[in-house]
Amino acid sequence: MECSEALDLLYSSFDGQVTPTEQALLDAHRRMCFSCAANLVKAERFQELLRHVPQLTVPRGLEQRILNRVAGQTSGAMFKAAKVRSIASGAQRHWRGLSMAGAALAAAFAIFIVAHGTLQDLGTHRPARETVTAVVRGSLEDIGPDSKVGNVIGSSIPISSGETLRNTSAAPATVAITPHLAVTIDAASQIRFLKVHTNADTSVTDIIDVHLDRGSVRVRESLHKDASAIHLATDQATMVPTGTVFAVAKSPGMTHLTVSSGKVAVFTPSGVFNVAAGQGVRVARGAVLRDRSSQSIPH
Amino acid sequence: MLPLSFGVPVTGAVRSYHLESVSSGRDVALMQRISGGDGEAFAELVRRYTRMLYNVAYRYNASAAEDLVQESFLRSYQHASTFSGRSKVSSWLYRICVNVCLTHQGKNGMQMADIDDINEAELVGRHDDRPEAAAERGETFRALEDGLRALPSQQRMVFILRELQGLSYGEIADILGINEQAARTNLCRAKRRLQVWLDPLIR
Repeated sequence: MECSEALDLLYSSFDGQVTPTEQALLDAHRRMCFSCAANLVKAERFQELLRHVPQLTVPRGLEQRILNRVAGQTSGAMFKAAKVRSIASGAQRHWRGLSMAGAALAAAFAIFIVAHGTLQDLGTHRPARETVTAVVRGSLEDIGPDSKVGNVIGSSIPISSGETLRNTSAAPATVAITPHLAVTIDAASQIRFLKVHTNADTSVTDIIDVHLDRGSVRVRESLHKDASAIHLATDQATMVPTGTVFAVAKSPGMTHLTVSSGKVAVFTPSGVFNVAAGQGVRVARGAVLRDRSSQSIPH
Repeated sequence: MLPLSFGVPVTGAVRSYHLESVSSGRDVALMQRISGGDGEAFAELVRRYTRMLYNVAYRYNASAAEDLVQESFLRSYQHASTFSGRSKVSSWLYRICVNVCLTHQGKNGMQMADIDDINEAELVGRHDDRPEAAAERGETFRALEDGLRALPSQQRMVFILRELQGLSYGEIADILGINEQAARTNLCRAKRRLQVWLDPLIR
């Protein structure tokens, strides 16, 4: 059983939808596979969290406004006499809707030849669907999902969910993850691949979720049909490009984002914004500030 | 795209077996009164179900939630005569609301403010300051709402109906016009995304 299948089975088990055989397989996988044990525990905590999501109260006066609108748009003056007991206790919420806007793409990419779907036996901790083969230019320390540490210098490496890449050298190193996505890890910086997933049918890598543990990275991504954008997270925000070149740097309590081309959607607990080319923002807990000192990203 | 249209009675839906014979006589009587133009009956419907629809609409599109709920009730009034009692009133209203939400998304495309459209004062400390809001929703719940809106429409709606509204897969399949397996698959995908999204906040 692959880790992704184990996660799906666990989700199904929350609904009581697994057979005893499937449950036994899931239990066995959890005992054997350290690479996803923590993820499965998080899935259980996530499910527990969902049980406590509160129902929202409606804005004050909404029921009356509904009646007024319906009365106004139909022939009925019948609602004028209708008394509605408001159950609302909340006030208006002014949250902007969010979604990823399509954006024009302009990016010159460092092109590497990346082999997809050609992974051979990578061991039980590297299921093919959760592994991509990337090409590294420069020098990086690679900590695998099985905690094995190795050095990579200018060669291809398998990257799986749970993989950590650390740049301990003085020069930046670039990782071409797909033909459309390259991440440059600056000196003294570290990223962790929270989730990598490749569609077995199409061989398209559709999930790449990365966490910037420290330092700074620069991302060059050309979105194409069927591919999902990289999700690059820090403790303060998650950045999702819509086909762009951007850089993210992390300092204590603060994330700095600079966009060179295209747009980047920035998700924070206090709101969501598009940041366009030539702009920069700083994100701290509870605040987002325009960064006046943002510079273009060196190519 | 939903195969539903508001002029189509629920009774004619292909997969309506999930919802058959579950409407109470009280619901049927209420809907009959509404289709006859009884304003008090409609006010009763609004009083009973506004919160339910608001929760769906808000989680789907917070900035347009109130409009979406108003539009849903307007359509429910206009098409009250198509309600036959073979489904629950709640399921019928969910279906209308889901259709309104998805139609709104299609008409309005993707919505997101550019940072240039937001003044500095708005940017700093941009959050709901109401004490009751803080009590209602912690940081994690707000992050969940943000993450939800980044999901594809169908995954988002399945997640809302299943995990936040507690509907069965059968009801979700009926409401969205998909099969149950598709609903399950959409839910798994949504949860994978949201779990990653919330990872830093899940202790």
